[in-house]
This record gives sequence, structure tokens and C-alpha cells, in this order.
Amino acid sequence: MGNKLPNSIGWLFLLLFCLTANVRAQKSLNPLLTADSLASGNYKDVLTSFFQVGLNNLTDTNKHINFSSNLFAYMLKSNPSLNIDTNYVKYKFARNTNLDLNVKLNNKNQFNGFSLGFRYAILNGRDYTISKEFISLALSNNYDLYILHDSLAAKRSAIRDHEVRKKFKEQTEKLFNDSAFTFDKLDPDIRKIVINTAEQGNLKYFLNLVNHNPSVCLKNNAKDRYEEVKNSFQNKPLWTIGVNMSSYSDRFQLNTLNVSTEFLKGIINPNALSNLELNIKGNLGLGDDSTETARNLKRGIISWDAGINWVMKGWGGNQTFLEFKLSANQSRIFSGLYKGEEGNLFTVNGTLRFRISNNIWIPIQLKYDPKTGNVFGFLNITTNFTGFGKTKN
Amino acid sequence: MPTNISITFKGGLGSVTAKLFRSGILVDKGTADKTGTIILKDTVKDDCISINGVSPPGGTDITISVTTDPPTTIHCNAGPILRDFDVL
Repeated sequence: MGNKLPNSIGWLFLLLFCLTANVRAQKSLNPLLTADSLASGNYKDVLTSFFQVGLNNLTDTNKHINFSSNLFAYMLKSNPSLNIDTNYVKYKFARNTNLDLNVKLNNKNQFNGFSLGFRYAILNGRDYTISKEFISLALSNNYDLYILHDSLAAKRSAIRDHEVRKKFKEQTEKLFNDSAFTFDKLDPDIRKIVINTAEQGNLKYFLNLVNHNPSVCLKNNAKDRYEEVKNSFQNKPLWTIGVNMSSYSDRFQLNTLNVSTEFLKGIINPNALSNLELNIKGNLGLGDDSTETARNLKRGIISWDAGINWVMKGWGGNQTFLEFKLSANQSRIFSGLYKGEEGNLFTVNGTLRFRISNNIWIPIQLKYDPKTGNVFGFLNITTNFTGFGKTKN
Repeated sequence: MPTNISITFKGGLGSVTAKLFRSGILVDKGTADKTGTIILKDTVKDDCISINGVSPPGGTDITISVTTDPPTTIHCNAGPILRDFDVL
């Protein structure tokens, strides 16, 4: 691992430069959609909402450039009207489908084959965008503010004095929609009206909030309570199935075929600063038995992997910034076992992911074989694009 | 006069409720749980339209067919919607 580090660092900087430049370019445009950037990096590796680019095994002789995309993201790029809810809800299959392209490079960074993959989320409880339960929870979580807002609008409609009404409107508009305006900045007479209105409506949450913290910003508070509901969906189950196949470097011929399934579920309070995710994977793979002259798919491996991903939040509000996944993996070669090769392999794996910007993650994978005491390390980098720039209508 | 409030949700489901207040009294209301139009039967000058709801990840566009302060179309980002308009 050590002697390949300078080469890897070069790769890392090159990719970081390209990716951050790309992200900067995207930010200058008005995004049509924003993804759930609060999601864990592990979740985004299981099912990406938009695009994900990764450079894997940076320290290995066989690097991979991986590009994953959501099928709906492709469709939306060419037809922005699909973004409208009445169209959006119709394309469940596309929204739950990821397409993967993986280009393999050898130690001279030359093409060394490629792989294609398909993943589908048969259960995607984390997609809050189509959940009526989410809407209902988001409305009830800000119930007091909605009632107060309506009541103040009713009061304003009864004001006949133009100047008084104008001032009342300006102040209440800021109160609900200005992220820099705090409750204590209201004019005392209007503050009194707001308090009286809340008392008449028995809005206990609101009264408690402003009594304990007069410098509260209602817009930010409402947004935080909305985010709480959004976060709660990050604990819901996600279950995917997938097929992946790779080719040889010299011709388009099947080299490996994998069928996999993966399950992910949060198990502690998703609004806490640290959370745990249960992650279970299963894989059935067929590959080339290299002891035979002819190319074939006679070597079969079945494996499972069960782990816990520890998620630390706090970046940019409540975004995940650090994750550590500890898992156990067992593989069994059920056909095409090489002479002297161990048919069963058990490893303990650790993956440390840290976020270096809003969209860029660096996962470092470590594998430990308890039988031989060997440790293998893999350095990766992934970026999740969280939206689309404005596209032509 | 009848007033149409056109609602366009983007990037997922949303919900808004529009209420029409006149002289402190609720005179009409309507809800949209998908892209469409809420019709308020009769609006007059100095009425107040209060719009509450939840905007999906891609945002919500609100357009009111009569002249209002502030003027529409307005775009609401993802999250809670708490907007109100005076009919001019």
C-alpha cells in the first residue's frame, strides 16, 4: 500500500480538482431538485438519487472508475416536466433504479475491462418525496405556526388603516419568511398582538418557544422541525437487488456475473448526532476458472456481509460528516476451487468514510483476515451530485 | 371576482391550503394535494389570502390570478410554506 501512495495522491488530487470544479459549476445554476444531502454516505452507495462518481482502489494496481446514476435522473435531464408531481409519481420504477458503469484500469492506468450493473430498490421507505405520511407529519410538526399564520392573516384583513396594515404585513412577513429576522425584532405593539393571538389560539408550543428563547427565528425553527421529519425517514428500510456483469479487457466477453441483494435500516434516533445503520449484503458470483484454457464462468462464490454503520452528524447543520462501518464477511467458493486454495474465507471489514465537502466522500476500506492476520486496504473517493442545473424547456 | 390559485409541486408530493379572510372572517378555503388550481369563489380588494403547506424537494410555484401584494408567481423552496397575500 505504501509504495503506491504518491501515485494515488496524484489521482486523488486530480479527481478532487475535477469534482470540486464540477460541483462549483453546478452550484452557480439554480438546482431543480435537491437530494437528501442529510443521507449517509453508505446509503448513497446503496442507492443514489442522482449521479455518483467514484474512483475506487486508489492504492491498488487495479483501479476502478465508477459512475452510478438514477434512471429517473437521466429521464429528467431530457424532460424537465417529469419533475412535476403528477408526472413524478408515475415513474416509481425509474426513481428506484440505478445504473452502474465501472471502468477498470491497470497499474499503467490503461483500460482493463469494464462492468455494467443494474440495481433496483424493491423497498424504499426512505423516499419521503412520495410519502403522504411525510406530508402529514411535516404539517403537524409545525401546527402552531400554521394556525398562528392564518390567525394573523385574519387579523390583518380587518385592519382598515393603510399604514398600520402595511407595517403589520411587513413585520409578519419577516417573522415567517426571513431567516435573519428573530421574534424579538418585532415592534413591541405587533409582538403583543402576536402573543395575544397565540394565547387566544392556545398555541402552547409557540408560546413556550418564544418565552424561553425570544431571539428565535420562526422561519429557521419551522425549517428545523421539517428537517426532523425528513431525518426520521432516514431510519426507514431500504432493500435493493442487483445484477452486475464485467467483461475482459481484450474483447467483449462475460468475465464475471454477480447477483446481489442489500438491506439497510437505521436503528437509533435519526435526529440524534450519532446513529447506527444495519447493513446486510448477499452476493452470488460466477467468474472465470483460470485453470482452464477456455474462458468460462465455472468458478462460483457465494458471500454474505453483515455490519453496523456508525453515522456522525454535525456538518453544515445536520449533515453526516463521518461514518465507520464494521462488518463481518464470509465467502464460500462452491465451484472451481483452485488447488491449495481455502474454500471458505472469513474477514472482518472496516470502512471509514469522511466527507470533505458537501458532495464528496472519501471511503477507506480495511479488510482483516483473522486466519492469516493479513490486512488489506483500499482508498476510494466518491461524489454524489445532488441536483441538476437548469435545463432547457 | 373568482380567483384561481395555481399550484405546481416539483420533485415530489406537496400540500397547500389557501384561506381567504375578509374583515377578520374566514370566507373561503381550498386545499391542493397535487399540482392543480384552488378556486376561491369571490375575492374583493383588501381581502387577505393565507397559504400554508409543505413544499416538496423541487419547490412549489404559486400563481394567483388577481393582482396581489406581493405579486405572484412566487417560488417556495422545499419545506414549510407560510405565505400571505393582500388582494389589491
